[in-house]
Amino acid sequence: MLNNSTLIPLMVVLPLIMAILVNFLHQKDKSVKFISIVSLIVFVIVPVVTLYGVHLFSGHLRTGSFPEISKMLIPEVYMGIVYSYGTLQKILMLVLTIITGFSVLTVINKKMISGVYVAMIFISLASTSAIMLADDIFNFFVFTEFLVVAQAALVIAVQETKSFKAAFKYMIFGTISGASILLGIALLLGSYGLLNITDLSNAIAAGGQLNSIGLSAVALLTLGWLYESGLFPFHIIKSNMYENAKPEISALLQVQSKFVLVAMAIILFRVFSGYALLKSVMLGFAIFTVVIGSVMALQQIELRKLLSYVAVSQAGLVAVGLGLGTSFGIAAGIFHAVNDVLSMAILFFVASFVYDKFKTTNLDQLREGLHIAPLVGFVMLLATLAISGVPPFNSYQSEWRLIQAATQAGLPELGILVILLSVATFVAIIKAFYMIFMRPGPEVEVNTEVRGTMTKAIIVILIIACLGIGLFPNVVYDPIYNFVLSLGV
Amino acid sequence: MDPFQVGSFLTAGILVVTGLWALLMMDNILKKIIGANLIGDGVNLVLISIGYRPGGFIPEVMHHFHATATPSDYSYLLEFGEFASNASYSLPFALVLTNIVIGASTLSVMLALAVVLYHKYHTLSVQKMFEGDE
Repeated sequence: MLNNSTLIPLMVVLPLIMAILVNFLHQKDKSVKFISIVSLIVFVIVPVVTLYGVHLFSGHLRTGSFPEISKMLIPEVYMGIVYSYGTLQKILMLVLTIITGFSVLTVINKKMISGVYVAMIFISLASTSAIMLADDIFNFFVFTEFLVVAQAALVIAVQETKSFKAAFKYMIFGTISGASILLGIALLLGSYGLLNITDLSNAIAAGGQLNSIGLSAVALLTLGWLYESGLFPFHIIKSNMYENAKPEISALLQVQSKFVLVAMAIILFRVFSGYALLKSVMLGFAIFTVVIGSVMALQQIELRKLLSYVAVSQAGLVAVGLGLGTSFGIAAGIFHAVNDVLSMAILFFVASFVYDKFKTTNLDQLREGLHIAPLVGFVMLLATLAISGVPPFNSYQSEWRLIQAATQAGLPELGILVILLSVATFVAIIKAFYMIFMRPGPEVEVNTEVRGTMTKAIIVILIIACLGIGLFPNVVYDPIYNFVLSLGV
Repeated sequence: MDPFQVGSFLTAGILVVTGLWALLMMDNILKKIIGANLIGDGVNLVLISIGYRPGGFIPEVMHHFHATATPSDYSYLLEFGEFASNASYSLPFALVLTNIVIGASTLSVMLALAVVLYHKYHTLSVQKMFEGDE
């Protein structure tokens, strides 16, 4: 029997409470700043001190003597919403809360502090946490909808016409995706009378082959997964969001999208574990995303746009691992998600610094930045190596495992795709690095007031984390692999 | 399946298809937003129809059905055959209520964006607003 841990819901409830609080304190900057910093410390501590287990919102723990009131296929059910917290959730929660903390600190440091803005960041944190923790498919849906609104609000806050349009498109497609997920849930509810993911998984496994209603539910939920993860054909919508948000917020948005990708894929695998075609479909969309994302990235001459497409193509790579469907492949995919969000976050924070320092991220207008910001240039170079899978950095470890998993699964050509993506990513970002920091030419206008001490500290911490995971990959990988094995998918 | 339930599912289907058509084919930003809302309404109707039972009664009137109950508290339900055979399935109603609230908040944000975009471009045509975008 797992622990009934009361701390688990705090990972969702605390950010929500703090969001309401800072929202009420709008325009009281000192209070918002103080509460934000204290909250961020608490948000990081809570996942560390929380015991693994489940939390039941009302209801009771699983029992063998529950009466079969609804003639369901399985005799044991949870009544009420369940949150489940394991090793994978702990790793993802830690990364998420730390990157959220860095984003908020950057916002505070730039004196962009606003109660409503921080509230939206906290709501997006709460939503992503709930998506990762929920063992209830409707609760999962509710928080995906919250996340869409909160992410759109963060982009709207930029107050530019482009950002309004990006947010509008995101919300319109979000409506279709939300309806698709809910319809899928409705079909499952109608067929099995259940919302709990564990129970649903058991019921579907006991029922044998999926009927047409079950197949429709798979299709609808997969459509929702593609949108929430920013995979093909929704890659442009997602990259548009990254591009039009403030870069430090893009760093956060890409973490949320990749973790939602992982969480929802796990749900799909658990619920429809016996349905092999699902993995092939996932793999197909993932390959399209990798190819299109990397090709688009190579064409860009705007740093934020370039990074947006790199983020999307890397999400495709995560999905390739998941789509392989083997324990090794899924674990490698999740490991790559963790590694990639750290490297991408560095690059987005570098973009944030470049934007503040040079007042543009257009690569054509940038040159000779290395003597102005040598540390940032050096870290960007290291981050480029990290995200391209160059040893001894973290992505090397995950991409190597992805290639091994592809070969083991009988798809060695996917290993070649991983290598090609690494090369394309390296070329795209090193071009940007050269144009910003190395290209000779007349001096560009520099904002001398921007020192970027906070951003520099953040990118140094993150690159050390990338190096640390690269040198000691098993600290992160082994718990992920054991978690995937325990899923039995 | 009861004819009323069939009718509900058909209506839901019509709502979803109409909404999708408005969302994808219409140029007016407000009509797109209304289309998005219609899709949500259609899905809500599917959920409500799932819980429908001809002549059924509402489980919430049963006072013993409370959150702190233990498995043994529910044992009487087994003897209460009328409950098992006649109660409507109440869970979808709760889900629909939640979805209505979410839909309202999403709708309000989309309408606010439509107002802002209208002030920028002085048109409701999405094609004109997004002209020149990649």
